[in-house]
Amino acid sequence: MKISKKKLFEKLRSLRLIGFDFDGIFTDAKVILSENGLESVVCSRRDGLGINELQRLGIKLVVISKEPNKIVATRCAKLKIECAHGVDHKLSLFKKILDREKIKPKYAAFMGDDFNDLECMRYAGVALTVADAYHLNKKVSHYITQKNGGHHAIREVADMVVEAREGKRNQKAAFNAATPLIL
Amino acid sequence: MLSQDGTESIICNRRDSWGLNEMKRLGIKMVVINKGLDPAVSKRCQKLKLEYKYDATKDKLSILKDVLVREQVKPESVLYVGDDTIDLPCLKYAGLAVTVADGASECKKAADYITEKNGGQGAVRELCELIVVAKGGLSRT
Repeated sequence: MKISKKKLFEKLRSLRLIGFDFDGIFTDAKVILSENGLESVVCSRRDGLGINELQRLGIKLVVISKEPNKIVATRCAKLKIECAHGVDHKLSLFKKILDREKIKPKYAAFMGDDFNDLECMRYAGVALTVADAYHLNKKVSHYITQKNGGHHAIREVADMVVEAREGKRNQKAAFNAATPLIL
Repeated sequence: MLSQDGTESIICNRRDSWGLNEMKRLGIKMVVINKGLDPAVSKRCQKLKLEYKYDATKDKLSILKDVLVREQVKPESVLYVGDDTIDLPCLKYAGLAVTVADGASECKKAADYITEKNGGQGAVRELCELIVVAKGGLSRT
């Protein structure tokens, strides 16, 4: 369901909310597990910068994850993103959030890499996924990032949204330095 | 992975979980077999609700046979996945032998199927998807 860059940018210009899956989008889907039972994941600080840019544009961001481990909430708290984890049925929660924010589905995007994200991706006006996603997620996506999950794929999306809204970034106005960066 | 305080860690792939859940839904019994106890593996199995069998005094095949007797499953109805020479007896005993793209050459020789993915890089997921498709549950396209 890939669409032209022009059509995609039109959609991105009116975007008000992005929902994200966590594992496989913020990470490469891997988990490091120690013998003490402590779980770790690797995130991208470049994604962190992209998240900051999306927030600067006033786009509401929310993470909806099936994973029960609080590591998801820890990362989201740092990035100041609303987070729901341990979610078994993502679409019903996504709908509730859109209702609460009074945002129509066509002004929302969802970015997910696996089976349990498909419903949300079909429901949102913009479906986004990563290069190494499950094949069905690629099929329903309007845009597939060139990057794999955890390898700055969110940054790629953020850069695209910024470009759609503000044109290609020139070096002078690279970042709004007035806002403190949380990566 | 080893940290400077001696803590050992393993790296797993969360994308495998969906495949494992599908196996449970299809009623396929799964068991992870180790020669000795590996605490990190034990933690991962707990989380994924997989049975974990280990016994330092036995070889893997004896452990597998014990499980088959308990579950009343014949060897021909068993699939075994292993990547190293220690797994060879089990691979030869099971009805279906699978190894990963980066498995030992002896395992590859004994295998009925070799996953396209390396171990830890979504090989379990790949195998589970194949089983779901074979059982008529999912279209590949």
